[in-house]
Amino acid sequence: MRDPLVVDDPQVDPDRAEWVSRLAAATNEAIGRLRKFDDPVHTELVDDLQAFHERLVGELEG
Amino acid sequence: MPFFVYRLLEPRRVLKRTSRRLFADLKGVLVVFESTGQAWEIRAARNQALFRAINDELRGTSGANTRNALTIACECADVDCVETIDIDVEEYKDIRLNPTHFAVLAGHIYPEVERVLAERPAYVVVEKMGDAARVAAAADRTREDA
Repeated sequence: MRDPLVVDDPQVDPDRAEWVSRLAAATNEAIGRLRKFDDPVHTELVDDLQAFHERLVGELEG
Repeated sequence: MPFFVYRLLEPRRVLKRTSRRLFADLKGVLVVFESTGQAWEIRAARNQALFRAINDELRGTSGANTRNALTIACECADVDCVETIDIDVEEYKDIRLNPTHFAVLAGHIYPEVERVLAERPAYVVVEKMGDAARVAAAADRTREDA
């Protein structure tokens, strides 16, 4: 039975935090790798990755 | 099926997509800027290219575990998704051979922009179609040059 005193806060789930941290690191690596390509498709992709990275970091920082 | 009809029939997906659309309240009148079907196809492909780029890094840095399996991010079109897929290394290599193929969780399929190629116990392989396929291929081309 679910304990009513336990708050289900995904931000404190250590497994999720570890995964989000790995995702953030991998996203950062992908940004660095794709930045060298100077074409519209990859410029947009890097923009998307940067926005995603900011969101992940925001989640990790609470 | 026209996109607007699909949206009426799929309220869960409508909710998820609506959150990504631009809403503006102008002098009390709610103005909704809807994406065209083509714009959604391109957006979906860009989202999936994002997860694929991240998975390329995960594949390169984390390596396979003792079961020869990788943990990757679900490559679905929902950029809010951060769910994981445990996948065999060789199976993922096969998927990555085609730039229009992606591994997604069951239930994370968007039939208006992709079709199911294979169903596995832990994931589904989908293939992008139309403009989404072209965007996915273009985003993948330079990975080989990187």
